[in-house]
Amino acid sequence: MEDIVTKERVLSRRICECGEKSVQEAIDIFDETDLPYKKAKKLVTGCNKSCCRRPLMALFKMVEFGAIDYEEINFLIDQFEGRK
Amino acid sequence: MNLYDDFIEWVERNNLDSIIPTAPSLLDELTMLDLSKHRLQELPDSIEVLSNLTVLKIAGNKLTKLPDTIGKLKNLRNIQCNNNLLTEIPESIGELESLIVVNFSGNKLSALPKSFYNLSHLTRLNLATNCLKSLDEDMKKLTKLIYISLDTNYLKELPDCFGDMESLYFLELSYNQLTTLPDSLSEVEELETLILEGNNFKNLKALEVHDMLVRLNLNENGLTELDFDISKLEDLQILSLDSNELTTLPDSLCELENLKELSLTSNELSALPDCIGNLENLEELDLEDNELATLPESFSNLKNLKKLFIADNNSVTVPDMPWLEFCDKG
Repeated sequence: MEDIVTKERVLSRRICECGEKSVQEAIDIFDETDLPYKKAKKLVTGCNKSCCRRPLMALFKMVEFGAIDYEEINFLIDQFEGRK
Repeated sequence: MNLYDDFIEWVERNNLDSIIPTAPSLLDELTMLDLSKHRLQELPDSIEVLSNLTVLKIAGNKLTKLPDTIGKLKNLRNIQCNNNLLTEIPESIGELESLIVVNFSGNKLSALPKSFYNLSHLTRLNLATNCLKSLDEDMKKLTKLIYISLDTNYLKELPDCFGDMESLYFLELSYNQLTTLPDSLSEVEELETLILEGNNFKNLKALEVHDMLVRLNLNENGLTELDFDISKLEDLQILSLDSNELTTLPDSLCELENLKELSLTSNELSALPDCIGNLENLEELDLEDNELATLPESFSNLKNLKKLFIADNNSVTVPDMPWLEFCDKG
């Protein structure tokens, strides 16, 4: 039960203030593109900066691999937010 | 309670008995332990019973500190402790004389203990995404390093520590606040990868000696020009200069005959060098988000170009290049 709650909470979290997309929206975008990370990332954030690099790159690789570790994404978003 | 009993109790309390044997004789024999992603908040002092441990993976937990007794794991060669919540590393880490590989990336370290620089056998060091503001001069004692990642810290300068790191081939310094490279880096002849993204580097003439560099990343450095002779980097295969303020590129760029990937996204380029077609091994070219209106005549000489990104320019027309596998402009 705890995992399901965590997953839903993570899916609804904002992954980056650039683009204001949620984790779920970012997953859908990464899932639907075959562009490399640098370009796929721009579809999420709408900018060419390397913002939110760790959570976004990790999520991109997880989508590519086919399995998402929500706890790790949550940690990486927390980590990024904590550095601001 | 003896150390074995204490350790076994900790194993059982954390439901790790399917991973860690609970017989003292088997604990003595344990050489590799993977406790990654188990939501661990602490390791017990009694971890010292794992006297033959060579590899310890504790990444992705919630560890805020490591026990001082970790220094008693004398056979430890590889510690993977990335993505935890460590604010410090115990001084005893310096006693781990066998350590070769260390990964403390993604923690909250603001400094390293002085003893850390006694780990003279280290070959791979990853301290990315911490809160490091400086490194000690004693870093120069880590002469066997071949791989260093220090990206995403708060470093404003580096100690002049690279002179004896003869085998260093990978150096990642992205997302710090660096403006210059230490002079001693020029003595590292084997350097193949240098990632400097997200700093404020200027006066990069020192790079010219690195004629074995294969990959150079200078993204997001506020560069208005390339203030060094890039043609000296004759082995360069991947060059990334994204998100700078470049308005022109030097003709010397065209002498990089081994270049396979060139990325120039989000600059202010209004023209490419006329000689761009000399880059006959170029396979991927990213020119997105510049101010290009035309391409030089020689552009169609890029016979090995497979991927071209050129969207968000000034109505530039791409010549007929049927060998292109991907172009973001139809």
